[in-house]
Amino acid sequence: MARLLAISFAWLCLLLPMAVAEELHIGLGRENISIGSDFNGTDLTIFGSVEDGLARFGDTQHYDVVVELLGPSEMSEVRLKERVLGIWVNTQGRRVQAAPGSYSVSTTRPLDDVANDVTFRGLGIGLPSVPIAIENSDEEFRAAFKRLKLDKGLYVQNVGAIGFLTPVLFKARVEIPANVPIGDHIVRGYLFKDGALLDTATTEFSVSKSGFEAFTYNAAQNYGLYYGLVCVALAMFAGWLASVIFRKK
Amino acid sequence: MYVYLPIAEMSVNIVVLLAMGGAVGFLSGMFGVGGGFLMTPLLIFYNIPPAVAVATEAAQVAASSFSGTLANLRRQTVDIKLGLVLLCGGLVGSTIGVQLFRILRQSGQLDLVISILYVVFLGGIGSLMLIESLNAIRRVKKTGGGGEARKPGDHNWIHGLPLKMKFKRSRLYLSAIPVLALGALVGILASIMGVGGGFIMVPAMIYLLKVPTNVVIGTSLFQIMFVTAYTTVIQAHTNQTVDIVLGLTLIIGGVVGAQIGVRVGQKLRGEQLRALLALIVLAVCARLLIGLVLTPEELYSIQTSIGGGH
Repeated sequence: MARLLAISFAWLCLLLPMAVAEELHIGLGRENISIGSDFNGTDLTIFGSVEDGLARFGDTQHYDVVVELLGPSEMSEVRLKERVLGIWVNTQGRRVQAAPGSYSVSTTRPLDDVANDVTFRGLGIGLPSVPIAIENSDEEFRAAFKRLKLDKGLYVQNVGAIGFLTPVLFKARVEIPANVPIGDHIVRGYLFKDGALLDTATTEFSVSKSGFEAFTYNAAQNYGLYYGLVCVALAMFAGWLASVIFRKK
Repeated sequence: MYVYLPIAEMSVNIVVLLAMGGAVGFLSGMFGVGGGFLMTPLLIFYNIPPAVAVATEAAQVAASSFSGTLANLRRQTVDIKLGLVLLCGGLVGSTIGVQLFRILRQSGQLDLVISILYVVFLGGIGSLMLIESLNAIRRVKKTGGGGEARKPGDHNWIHGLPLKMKFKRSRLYLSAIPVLALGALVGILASIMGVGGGFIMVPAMIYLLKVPTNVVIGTSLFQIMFVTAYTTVIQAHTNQTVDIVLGLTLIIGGVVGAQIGVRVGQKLRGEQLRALLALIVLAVCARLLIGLVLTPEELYSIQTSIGGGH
């Protein structure tokens, strides 16, 4: 009997750490955001759970969750104006080879409280570590790029936006701005406890123009000539209609 | 009430757009001008990307000049032959202009060039109009009406150029070279500034080509209509910057505004109207000039999708 107990205790000791290895799961309120004629920004609900096998023993853990939203990578150019002969002229430019078109990071608490700087920099989490590949790795232009993106509301930090509903269930509402880039967005979740990363999870959603907006945009991009002809025809028709309506009066 | 512009990729207040279209339409109806030279800067002040503002304005000018041309054709105040020669120059100019537009946009200098062109042209035309109309107001006060008499058959260096053509409707025997050159200049302006170019065309036709005033407006509208229509198509093809939702909204506002403007304009005196328009033109010019000279809050800017998405 004692032998049996000893064996089962040994098994328990082996099993427990496995059961405690926490797993993070995240999901989204919707997988597709469509931009219609009345689109002026929207909200995205992110929810998730932590599976730790401890909750059922009534042992409450204090987890921290960080969720990043990365917009489709974009190429662009950052330009600097200088005064030339009294007027402000774009004189210098640095190409941005790749940078997320939008970036938001939501957290349960301020990043400093979740883990230390080094951890976040190593993982590339947070506004200071957004991956921006810029010509000559020019720090001044990189900082300007980030500042402009912040001003446009495309790079955002939402401290405390994630709330735990139960010790293992959390939810966040992230604002999607009106100028959100079109394409596939990646959502990355990170689970922390006592400053250590326990697990990550990834999912994605897409932003696309819908209906008339999608049709118009595609036509303009892919069939510019025909699109132009239709624009002129519509404009001319409107002009003709106006002359007919107002001649009779 | 917000509406999403599919090409400009931004959400704008449709009431503001309609009001802007209406206000500029009102002025253009009142003064008998195209209004593109006011609309494009207004759109830029409203944060519409200049590339989209300019290309879309071409479509709006096409619409308003079309209804103007129809009215002039009915009154037979169009010199079609002269208009067609101007148009030949205009098509060449517009083609060059759209390519210039593309190159400037890629090199990041488009916004600057648009602003400088506006400051130069609005400043020049506005000052000239103001001086002319103030002189006219003073003259009217002194003599109690009556304009200056112009000598018929005035000749200048332009009439010495070769390649002469007969323009029956205008009763002119004139070299095709200055006509083509004028057309080309206006074509370039149409594609880079998003204007019809009437403010250059009308004085040039009257003072340089000596076209009779009764056919000047109709003929220039005739040419402007085709050049802006062509420019719209080429802009859409080359730069993908024509926003149809923006264009139609402005057209609707503009059409209504213009009809009210015409009625108000008939009740005001010509010189006073011109002085008023000159002041508006100079105000827009000053606003753009301030933008060029004043130290901007942010010296950096980002341009995405270089080369118009291709």
